[in-house]
Amino acid sequence: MLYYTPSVARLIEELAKLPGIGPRTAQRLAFHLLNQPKERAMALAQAIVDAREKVGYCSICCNLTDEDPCQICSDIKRDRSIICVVEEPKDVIAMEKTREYRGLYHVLQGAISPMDGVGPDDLKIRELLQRINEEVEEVVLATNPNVNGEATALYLAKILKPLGVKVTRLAHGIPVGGDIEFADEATLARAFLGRREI
Amino acid sequence: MLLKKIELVNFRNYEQLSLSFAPGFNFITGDNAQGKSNLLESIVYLSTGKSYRGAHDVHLLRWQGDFFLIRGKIESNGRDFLLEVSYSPEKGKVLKINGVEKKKGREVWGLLKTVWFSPEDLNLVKGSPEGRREFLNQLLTQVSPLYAKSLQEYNKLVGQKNNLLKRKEDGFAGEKTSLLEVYNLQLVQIGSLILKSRLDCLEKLIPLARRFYRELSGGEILSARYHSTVEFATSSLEEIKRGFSKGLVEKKHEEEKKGYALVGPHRDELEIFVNGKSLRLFGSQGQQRTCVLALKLAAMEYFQLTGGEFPVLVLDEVTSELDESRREYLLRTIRGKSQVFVAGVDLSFLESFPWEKGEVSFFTVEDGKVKEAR
Repeated sequence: MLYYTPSVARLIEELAKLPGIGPRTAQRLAFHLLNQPKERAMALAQAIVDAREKVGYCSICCNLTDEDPCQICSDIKRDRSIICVVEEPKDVIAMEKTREYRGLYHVLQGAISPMDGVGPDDLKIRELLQRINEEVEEVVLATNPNVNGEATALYLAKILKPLGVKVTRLAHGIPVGGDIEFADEATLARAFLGRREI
Repeated sequence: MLLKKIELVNFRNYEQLSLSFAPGFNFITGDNAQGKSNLLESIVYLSTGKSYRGAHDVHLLRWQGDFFLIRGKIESNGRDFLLEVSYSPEKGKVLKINGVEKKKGREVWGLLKTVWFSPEDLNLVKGSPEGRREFLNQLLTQVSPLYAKSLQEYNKLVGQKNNLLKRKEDGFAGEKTSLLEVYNLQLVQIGSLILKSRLDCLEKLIPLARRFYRELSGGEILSARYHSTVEFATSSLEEIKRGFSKGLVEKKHEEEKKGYALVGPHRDELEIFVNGKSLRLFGSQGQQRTCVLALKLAAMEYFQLTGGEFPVLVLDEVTSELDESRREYLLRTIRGKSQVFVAGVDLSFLESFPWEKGEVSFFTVEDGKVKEAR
């Protein structure tokens, strides 16, 4: 990094730490920021500072939010009898986009993975258990359909069922609206194994 | 299945190479350390994304090269396509089919189907059970995308479970036991699929291998037994699952004591016998070699049986180890089925074989340059 002055080198270094940004892209972004009017770069810097300062976790659902409780938790029109459990805040957004779901959420902030040192205690599971009361009828487990998400779902099912609440898991198989022709072969094969009578 | 053409850039000792191949036999000769095996390695890499010599991707780069590229023109079921794999330490592997990038390895590996036989494989019978499991895994991964995916998941599950087993009793705030049950549930689901696929495969593979072995050895009888760590009465999926769950319960304490998963297809063994005697323990070197050859030929036939096409056969320094009658048998068995790539220091014995026109190509390799002879 001898080619850059120290402040540019630092900017590139920091940008390169972001996900999906390699050294080349970091360099391009850095020069782009420096070539723009100063206000534009300052606005970006301010936006990062603001977001960082204001955003925290909702004390109920553990999603990212500006206010506590978050908009969804404090929305009286939402169905309080059902909680959808997801791994990350971005999964809430994905579910919201369906416009089908009108219940509440719970964000675990990860999935169980012993190899990465993540156990049940490192996730927002205690917070979830505290939310289970007479009002809650169903918990939907919407963790990712991979090894870690599946383990997390099975574990949650194990500890939730004794509490007398209905526990469901998102269905998986071939995507709706897609062509079978383009489905991933392994997914299709597994969907075939899980076929059902109609 | 045909590999019509290959292009290499910066792969091992090849700076740049472009070769067209014969649909039948392709013989590659040259002195040692000129690049014969490297050429064959590139073909298998294009098929599996791995070096069959166990080399890491970085070590496949030519000296001071910053990337390598392998591109093959492949004919499968009468249609041509281009398969391309490039690698650089910065970007990792980039995969393309007909110039279109594919994100998932599963979409690419196995499109070019290969069966290979290299000097390393001579350990297949004599070596650890892992090698024999790996043989089945490689074959089934190429034949079945579901197997490939399941195996990937299964290995990850075993890793998670082993990590958990090594933790202290009160690890993860006393949740160790419930988490183990969770992983066991998943291991049963996925592991049973793997086990069932292997059993179904062996049911076809072993009779084929038996036939080849009998003909290669002049009458000796090959048989095999799959020793599973899972006990089951019949090999239905339901029965395997039941046995798997039962085994996990029975071995629970032992697994916790030893700190790793003991039950499941990752601990199974394929034992091979000749005339009723264990080949690993009592077989001569010649018998073991013949057995490996018979298994590889059986794998070739198995591909055709399940997918309708014969795979590309890659033989590295193998023919020179066989006597004349076995070499002839090998050539006659493969002829008209698979496209074959054979490398060896001395392939002069081939000159006298009654080849048909266009059936065969001879190449000589010298210091990373390949010339077609005749």
